[in-house]
Amino acid sequence: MSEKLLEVRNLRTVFHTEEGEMPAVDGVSFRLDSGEVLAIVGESGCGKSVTSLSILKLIPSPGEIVAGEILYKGEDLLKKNTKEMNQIRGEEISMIFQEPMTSLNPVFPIGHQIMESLIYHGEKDKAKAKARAIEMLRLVGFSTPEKAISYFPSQLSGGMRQRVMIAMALTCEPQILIADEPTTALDVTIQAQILRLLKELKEKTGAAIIMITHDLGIVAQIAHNVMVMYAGEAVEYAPVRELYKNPLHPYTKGLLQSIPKINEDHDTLYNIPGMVPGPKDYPKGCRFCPRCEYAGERCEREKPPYVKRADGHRVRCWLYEGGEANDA
Amino acid sequence: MLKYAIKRILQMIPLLIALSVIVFFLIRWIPGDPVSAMLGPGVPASNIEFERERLGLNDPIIVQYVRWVRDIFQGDLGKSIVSKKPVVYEISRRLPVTLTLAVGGTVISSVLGVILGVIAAMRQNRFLDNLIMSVSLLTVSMPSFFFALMLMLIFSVQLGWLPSIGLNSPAHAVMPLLALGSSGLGFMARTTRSAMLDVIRQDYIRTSRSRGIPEKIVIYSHALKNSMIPIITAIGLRFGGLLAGSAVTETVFSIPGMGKFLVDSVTKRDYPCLQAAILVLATIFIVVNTIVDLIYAAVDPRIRYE
Repeated sequence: MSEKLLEVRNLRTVFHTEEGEMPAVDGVSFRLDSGEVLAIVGESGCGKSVTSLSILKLIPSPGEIVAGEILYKGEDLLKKNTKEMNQIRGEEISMIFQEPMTSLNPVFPIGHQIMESLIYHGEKDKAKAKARAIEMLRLVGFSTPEKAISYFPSQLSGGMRQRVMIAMALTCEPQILIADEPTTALDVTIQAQILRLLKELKEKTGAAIIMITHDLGIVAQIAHNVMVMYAGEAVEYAPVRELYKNPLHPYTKGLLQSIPKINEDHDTLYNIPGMVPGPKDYPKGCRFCPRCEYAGERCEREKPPYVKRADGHRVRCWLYEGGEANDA
Repeated sequence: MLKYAIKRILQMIPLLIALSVIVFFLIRWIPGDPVSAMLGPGVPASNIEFERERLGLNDPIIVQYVRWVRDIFQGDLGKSIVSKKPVVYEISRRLPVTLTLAVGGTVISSVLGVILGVIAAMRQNRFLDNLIMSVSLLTVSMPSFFFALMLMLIFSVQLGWLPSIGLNSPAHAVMPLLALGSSGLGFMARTTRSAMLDVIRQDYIRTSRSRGIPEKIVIYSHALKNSMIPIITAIGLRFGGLLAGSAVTETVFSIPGMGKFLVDSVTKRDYPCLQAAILVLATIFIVVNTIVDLIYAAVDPRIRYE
């Protein structure tokens, strides 16, 4: 651990709409070391998926990355063309998606889809690719992978399809795996299996993982560090234990409070009042200000800087001015 | 797959029986008497009656139907009331012509239509897309006989490059094929474009891209294969349409095909020819539809496992 693999600096991804430019991701920065598991958490619409798609430059039109740098092993991915990106996608950085039911191509056998990843990343020998596909399917838990390679996605359950997605993503041994809510669409028992599988494979392959989720339970199980996003911005960053023990940002506190605890008996669960604002309604000052119970007059007027505290804990909130302002 | 194929082929049998019943009885519903039409006006009633008796037209209609079906199985479609030649002979002379035109027209419109449709989808709302869609709208809206006449005017009358009537050489086939292919071309391009636009937004296309698969493969293999169902449907329909609707084009170019034969048989009340021609064309249509269904299953595994 600790060798810098990926660094995102001031990423800004906007969607061009009839109502103007909507910044879905607005100046997000973070770094990922080799072997690290970084969780990006936040509510729907906070920009976490757009952040992950931006890394692979898969933002669909009318979206566009308008500013920032995405340094992978020191090289800026935003300066690479499609052909160069295709060598990185799947081979260096790969991705699994939220919806296993629709993320596999329904008209090709799953073995074909796994082999394809290998073949387009330089494997000339079809027999070897096939052997590797079988090996990957066994690794993700198929009991008869030799048979399974000729299955079509429609013959598999959601959990099995997500296993195929994982096999596909890891087959070229990428350095970074981006998992965009990999368990959200699955039921809880399958969720646990998939998480365990990801953890095991991470140990085996040494890949770093960016885990996008809104489930803080998952974060506690798998992540080393956590970045909390709100309304297109990073609002807090800390090692996972530190974040749970000592959350600083009022939004993070609210999120942690809204997790039901098994040994406490509440009639109603805590919730953060209000809704996440859409990009066109972002407040002028702190974006969380309208929902924040600690909000003061300054919060409405001025945007708080993203400060780094002595222990490496970062936060974007006027309550913690002690740290040194730092945007990287 | 084999089981599915056998099932689909067996399903053709009841369809063909129903077809034969409809064809036979529908034609006898048409007002007008074939014998009077054949003998012309002013012929004594006794002669007409004699001729009706000789042709078996006075037997109960069920008996006529059974006799007709029995003869079909012996390869006998009867004799033309007009030309007195076997119907099988009349059809065998004309069917290849119509099939050639229909297949040719379908191939031209499908190949070009699919390519143009994919290009339009990839350049959505840009110049090339607008151009292709405008041209395709034009070809869809323009009646093929009008297009045929325009072609003749330009290439036969003005330039003198191509022969205008008959079908004796490949050069003769150029204009009829263009005329038949053009309307299908626009239809195919539009169908392909909308199917591709639908597929290209699917999650699995994003997955393909996230794996670094070259864009050409993503479009022409991953996306196009998923768009094939509506495209194949459109091709099947086009072929059927060209088969049945070739009458106009055949008339314009004076091509002795099934369409022209059908129209002539109607005007002369030539029952044996008429019912045989409809039966043959409709059977081809049913066979084509079955083939289309089998291609569906080959393309999309979800269909064969249902």
